[in-house]
Amino acid sequence: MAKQKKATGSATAALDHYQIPRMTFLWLLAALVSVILPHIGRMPLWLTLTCVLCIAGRMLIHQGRMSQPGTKTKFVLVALMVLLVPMQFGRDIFSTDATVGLLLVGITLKLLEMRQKRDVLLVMYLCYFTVVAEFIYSQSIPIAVYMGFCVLLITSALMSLNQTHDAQRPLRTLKISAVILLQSVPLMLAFFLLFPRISPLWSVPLQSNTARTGLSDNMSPGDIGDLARSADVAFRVLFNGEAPPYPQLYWRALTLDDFDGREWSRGLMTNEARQYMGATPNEMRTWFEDIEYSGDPVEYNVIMEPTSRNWIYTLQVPRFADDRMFMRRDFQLESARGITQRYTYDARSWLQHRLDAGGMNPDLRARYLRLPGDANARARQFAQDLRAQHVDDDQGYVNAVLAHFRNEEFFYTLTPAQLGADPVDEFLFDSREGFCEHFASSFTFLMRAARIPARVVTGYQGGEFNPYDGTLTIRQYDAHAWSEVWLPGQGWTRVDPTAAVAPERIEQGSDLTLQQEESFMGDEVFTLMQFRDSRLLNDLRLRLEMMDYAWNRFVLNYDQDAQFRLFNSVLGEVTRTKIVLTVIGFMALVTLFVGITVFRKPAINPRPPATQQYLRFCDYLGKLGFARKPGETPLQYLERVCAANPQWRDEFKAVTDAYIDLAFVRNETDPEKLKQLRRRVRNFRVMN
Amino acid sequence: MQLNAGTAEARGWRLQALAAWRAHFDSWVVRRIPPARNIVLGLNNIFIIPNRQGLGFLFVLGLMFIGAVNYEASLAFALVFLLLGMFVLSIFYTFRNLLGLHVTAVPGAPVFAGEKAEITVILNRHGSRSFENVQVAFPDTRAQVIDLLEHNEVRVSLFAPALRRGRLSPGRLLIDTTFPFGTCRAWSHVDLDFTFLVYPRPVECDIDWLLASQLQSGNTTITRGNDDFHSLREYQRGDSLKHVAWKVLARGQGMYTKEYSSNVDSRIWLRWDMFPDIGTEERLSRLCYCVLKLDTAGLDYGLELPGVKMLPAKGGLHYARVLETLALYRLGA
Repeated sequence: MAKQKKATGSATAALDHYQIPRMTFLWLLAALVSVILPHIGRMPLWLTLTCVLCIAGRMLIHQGRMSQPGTKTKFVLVALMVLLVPMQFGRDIFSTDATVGLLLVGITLKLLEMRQKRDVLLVMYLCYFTVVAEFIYSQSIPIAVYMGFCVLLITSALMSLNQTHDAQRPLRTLKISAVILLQSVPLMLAFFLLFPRISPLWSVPLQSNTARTGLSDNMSPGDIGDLARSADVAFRVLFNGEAPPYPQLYWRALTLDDFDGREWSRGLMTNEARQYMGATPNEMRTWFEDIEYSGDPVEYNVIMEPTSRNWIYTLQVPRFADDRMFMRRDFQLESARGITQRYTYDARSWLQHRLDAGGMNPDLRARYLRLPGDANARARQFAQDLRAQHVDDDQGYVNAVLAHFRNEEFFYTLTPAQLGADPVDEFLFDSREGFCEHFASSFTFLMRAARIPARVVTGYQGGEFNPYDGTLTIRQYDAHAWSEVWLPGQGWTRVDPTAAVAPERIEQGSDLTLQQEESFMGDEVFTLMQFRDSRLLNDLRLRLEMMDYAWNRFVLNYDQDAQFRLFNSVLGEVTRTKIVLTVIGFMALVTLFVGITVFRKPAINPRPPATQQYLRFCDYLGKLGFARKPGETPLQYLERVCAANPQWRDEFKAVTDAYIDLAFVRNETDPEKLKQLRRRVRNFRVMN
Repeated sequence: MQLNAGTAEARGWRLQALAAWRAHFDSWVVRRIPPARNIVLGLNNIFIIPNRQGLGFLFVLGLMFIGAVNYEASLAFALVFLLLGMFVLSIFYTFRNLLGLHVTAVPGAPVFAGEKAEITVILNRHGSRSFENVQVAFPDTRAQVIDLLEHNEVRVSLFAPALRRGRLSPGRLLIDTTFPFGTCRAWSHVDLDFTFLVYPRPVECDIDWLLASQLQSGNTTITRGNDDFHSLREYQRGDSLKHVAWKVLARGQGMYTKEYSSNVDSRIWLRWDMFPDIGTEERLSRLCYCVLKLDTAGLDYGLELPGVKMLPAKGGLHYARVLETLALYRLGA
């Protein structure tokens, strides 16, 4: 900014008189407003207001109702922003949010003060940059289409800056820009497919404090229930081969082992947890070696929406060959970085497995048995009483608790009663209504109270199969919580107490089970998801989702690996020379092709419009048997034909006069007259 | 100080190198685009290169590319590549914006040194493709911007300063354009092979004595006129047959030509030595001034310079001839 100011200060007086063409200004304004629009919701209010004020100010300046801001005003504005932006974003000043905020403020301030042609140019280039900023947040099909429109506007503005006043016709400018952009598409595709992709240069924290809908790394009563308000996609899965039976689709996200009487959270320290990463040898990996797999693995590809967290959704128990991930001690996969972008991975899971079957070390075991203080006394008493009936029979105890849930009056509902200080007690003995987290939480509590190692697992269960492309879409309302207990001889075993109370939830999914509940998808008022009952609309929705999946998988996920696979399938063995030659050859071909479309010979001296009309008229007469003779002038022609057909004289003469007037008197340039000629020819044809 | 001197020297050296390169380039251009009355811009005479704006555009694309890499956003890559494609296309488009343009120029009326000579540049197209925002300029003229949208021909007037008398060439016409996106510049330097005539700069001088003296002693000077019969002289080849004294011939006295004299003899000779002790240019300038005055006054005047003699006459043609003689006097070939 400061640099810019200095430059304008030293500019000569002649340069100061640069007038931004009116049309260019309008184009720029349209482009800027439409490109900023999608960002508005994400920015703090004061920042949005600043942008709006700057734009309004510029419009006033343009109308001459306000003078250009002086050096002092500009200094104060910039200083204010330099103060306000760090205040807003604090420690996250290097986050994407802050950067985009700065970009928006910068671009509108620049708009306010631009004087020179290069200032205008800078604002236009920054507009393109703002489009990139939008793609950091969203790359959905509608956003892509909208941004395409924005790019067209910016490009038109750029072209309009290079047009003379006489050539400034909005539709024409728009048309030429659109044609050039369309012609650029083949080049774009070629670059997109072939341009070598590189890994990120440095990592950028995306957002500071944006709350995303989704799981969090702790769970208190009501948390999972809240997720049922949302139909946002959590992730999509495409199975390679047959999908496992629906009730087996437990998508693990994280395990919670620390209970404070109300809330479950992750207690495992990072160092303890990160025990095995990728294929690198690790001295503490014996537990990993001890995993017993059996049967055939399930293979699947997952595209997950960003969570800003590290966890990865898998079916238990996964094995992987991806060095972006590591496995925690609880057999949960995690990414080395927070998932701030849509993330794709291929996973393999063995649904038949035995984990820690050989036992755990005492520390770890103690952790999975720990219960806080003396709270929830009634539940402890209940557990001890029940345990007395199954002293050495852990499996029997588990079954007894499940039977208790099944046989007593427990209700599965999204809107359970509020729980007080001893939530487990109150749930088990008083309210008896709850969502999956209530069941999982109290079940795990009862296990630990009976000295059986247990933990809560949160994740998703089920999903929706799309019949058109076979993908499984897992939404936020599929969020689920269940338990894992450690049984001697079997190791960690999944137990879902919700299944005992509401088996339909597991067998049919939450969509069908919960749709009667008022708060289910409470946040989805105006989306197609509301119309799943209408066959037609549901069909449309599924098709749209199929498109979206293809978009995600083939466009948004086209990365280094995909590029390599493409090269591999085309070239066979991939060598550097081959790649370079292919890329250069292909680019040259595409450029040649596009060049030909640009330079293809235009029709040389096309007949002027009036002549075209008249010749069409002559052709028509020719069909009636009065073709014009070679060398016959229009007047001779008129006389000859009308001598035979006097009834045509009036209209024929009207056409001929109009043509002669246009072609020989007015040099074909009068649009009104041309219209008249066209009308007369039409009249003649209609009447004869 | 030393530092300053050093940088000045460096700058001087750089300027020299630049000038040398320019000269080299110019001579190459001359060889490449020979002078012609009509030039069609085509593959062999259009040059194109990305300009500073284009480099700025590429720089912004680079930044966007880094953003795309860091955020691994496919659509950001797509946008960068789309704009890169657009940049490549803009080279074609800018080139096309000159391709096939017919250029010619006609000089306007002669002017006096120190004035501006009008030169009409005519651009036309054979075809319907439009040409937009094309700038035309001679080295010393202000640029004019033209469009060829609906019309097939456009004429623009450029005003070149006429600094000295003689037949001047305005230099090579520069035709350049950055349409559509300003990211590259296509240009051509064409020599349209014409000159325009510049008369000497008129310099005011005292002319009254000349008028007065000539008017007073006017009748004594005998000049060939056609008002009154004056005398007979022997016929010479080339004399008008109208003026042959047929009666004398009929009497068998030989062939004579009748000589006439004007009633009011206002013929004035403008002579080289009218203005002693000044240089050639100054003399020509003053003579030029006299011609202007005499022409306005409607008098006959003749011109006599060393080696040039123009008999007194008046009228537009004579006026133009005299001035042309003054314009080209002693300029060599």
